[in-house]
Amino acid sequence: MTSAQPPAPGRELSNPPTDGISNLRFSNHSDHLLVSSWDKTVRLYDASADSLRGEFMHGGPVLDCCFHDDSSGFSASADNTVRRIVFSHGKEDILGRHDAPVRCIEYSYAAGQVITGSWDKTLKCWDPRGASGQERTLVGTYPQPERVYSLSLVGNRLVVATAGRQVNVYDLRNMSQPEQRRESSLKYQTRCVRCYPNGTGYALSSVEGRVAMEFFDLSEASQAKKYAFKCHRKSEAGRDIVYPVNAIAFHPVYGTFATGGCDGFVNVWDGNNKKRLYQYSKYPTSIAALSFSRDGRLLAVASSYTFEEGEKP
Amino acid sequence: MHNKKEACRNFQRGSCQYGERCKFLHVIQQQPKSNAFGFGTQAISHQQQKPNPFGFGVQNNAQSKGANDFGNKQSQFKNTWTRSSASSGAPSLRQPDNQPQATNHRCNDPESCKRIIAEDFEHERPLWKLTCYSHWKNSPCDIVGDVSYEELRAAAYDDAKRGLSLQSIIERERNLLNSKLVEFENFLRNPYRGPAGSAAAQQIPFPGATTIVLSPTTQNTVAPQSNVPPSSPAFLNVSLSNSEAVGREATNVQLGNNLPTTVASGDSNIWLKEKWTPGEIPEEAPPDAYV
Repeated sequence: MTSAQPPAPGRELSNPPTDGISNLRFSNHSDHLLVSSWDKTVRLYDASADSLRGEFMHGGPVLDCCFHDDSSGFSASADNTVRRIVFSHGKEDILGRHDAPVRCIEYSYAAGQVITGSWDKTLKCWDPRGASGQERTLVGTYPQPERVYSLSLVGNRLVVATAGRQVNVYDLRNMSQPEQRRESSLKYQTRCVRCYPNGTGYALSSVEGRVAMEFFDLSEASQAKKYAFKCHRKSEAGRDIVYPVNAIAFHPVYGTFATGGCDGFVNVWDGNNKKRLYQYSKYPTSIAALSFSRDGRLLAVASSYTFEEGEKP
Repeated sequence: MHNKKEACRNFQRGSCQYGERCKFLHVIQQQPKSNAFGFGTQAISHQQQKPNPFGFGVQNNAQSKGANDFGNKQSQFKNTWTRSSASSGAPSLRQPDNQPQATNHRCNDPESCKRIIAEDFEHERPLWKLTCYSHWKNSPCDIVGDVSYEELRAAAYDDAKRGLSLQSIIERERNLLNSKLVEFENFLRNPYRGPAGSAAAQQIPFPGATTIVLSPTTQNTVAPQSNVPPSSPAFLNVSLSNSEAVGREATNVQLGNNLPTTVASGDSNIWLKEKWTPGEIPEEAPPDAYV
C-alpha cells in the first residue's frame, strides 16, 4: 500500500445511491461492501466484481450500517429503528427502536451483540440471536451525557463519542458504567472516533481539521505518547481554511490509517512515525466515509453529494 | 531502568519511540537549550503559517503547570506536521501531554486564556460553525450546544416532508448559524461572563447586537473585527450588518447559482457546497418530501 508516487485513481462503483452516503463498510469475510445512504436504502455491493447485489429500503434515511456476517447485516436509521437485514432473502426485520434517530451501529463479535448509539443520548445493546423477528432482545440501555455521534469497537472495548466533546470508554463485559470518561482533547465538535486495530487506543477527529491519537492506558508512560495533528486544511492568504475530518479508517494489517475530510482529500498516515504517507487525488466533494477491506487491499471512499463512490486497489 | 546519564533528546521533544526501553534518560527537564532547538527546527521546517504554531504554542505553553511559563520545556510541541498541501512525509507533529487528564485547568491566568481564545478564533475557525468549543483541551466545553451536519440535514429533510418551504428551511438554518456565531463573538468578548449563560440567551434576531455589545474590553475590541473577515466578506454582512435583507438577497443569489447554502458567502461557495450537505437538501428534498 505504500508507494512513492500518488497511487492510481480508484474505480468508481456503478449504481451508487441517489442521495448522500452516510457510511460504508467492508465485510470481514469477503469483498462485499455495505453502503448506507440518505436515500433510505442500504446497498450491498460486491466490490471486486463491481456489482450491486442487493438494495434494501428503509423508512427513513439510513445513518449507519454494519455487517454481521456475509449473509446478514444491521442498519441504523433516522426513523429511529435498528434493523437486521438478511441479504439473500432480501428480508429485513426491526430489531428495536430508539427515541430518536439512531446514529451509529456496530456489531461486536466478542460479545455477540449489536450496539447502537442514538441522538436520544443512549447507547443500546441488542442480542440478535433471540430475535426471530418477534422477540427483540434488548440487552441494555446506557445513558450518555449527550447525543451519540460516533462509536468504535475493538476487542472488548467500546469507545463512544458524543456531542459536547465527551468520550466514554466502556468495557463490553461490564456496561453498567463507563470504564473511562473523558473530554476530547480537541477543542471542537467530534466527528469520528476509531479504535486502533491493536486495541491500545483510539483516534478522534473533529471539525477543526485535527486528529488526536489517544491511548486507553492511563499510565504516565502511555499518556505521554498521545498527540494530535492538523490535517485537511488549506492555507489561503495567511490563514487556514479548516475542514472537518469526517472519517478515519485503519488498515487492518499495517496499522496505518486514512483520514477523509470535507476538503475532498484522503490522506494516509503512519501513526507511529507521525508522518503522512500519501494523499489521494482530490475527490469532487467531501469524503463521507472510508473503509478498508479485510485484507487491506482495497479502500472504499464515499464522496457524497455528487454521490460517487470510488475504490482503489 | 536504563542507567544512562545522557538525557534523551527525542524524549525532550516528545518523540521518543522507545519509551522505557530507551537507552537514554527520559527526564523532564527545563532545558532552554532544547527549547530553542525545538522552536528552531520548527521555524525552519515550517513553511507556512506562523500563526498556527504560535497558536498551538500559546495553548501548549500555558498548559504546563506554571501557567505563565512560556519559556519552559514545551519545546515538545512542534507544529511541523502541516496540512495536505504541504509535501508528503512532512516531519512529525508533536503535542504530547504529560498529564493524562488535564481536567483541572483553572483559568489561573485569564489574560493568557483570553489570548488563546482570540488566537483560536482568528486562525482556526472551522468551516462548520455549529460546533461546541473549549479553549482548553480535555476541559469541558465553554460553548455548548453543537449540532452535527447529520442532525441539521435530518431536521431539514423532516421539515421538507412536513411541507415547509425551501426558503423557510434555509431561514431556520441561517438563524441557527447566526445565533451560534453571536455566541462565539460574545464568548470572545467575555469569556468569563458565564459563556453558558449567554448560550441560553438567544440573540437570534439581532445579529447587529454584536456591534452594540462592543464592550470596551481592551484587546478584544480589536480581535472581533479581525475575526469575522477570515470568513468570506458576505459572511461578514450576514453576521454584522443588521439587515436580514442583505443576507436574504445573497441567499437568493446563491439559489440562482444552484448553491443554496445557509451561509451567504461569496467566493467560498465551493467549499460550502461540499460542506453543507444540508444545503443541498433544497434540491432533493422536494422529491423526497413526496415519497
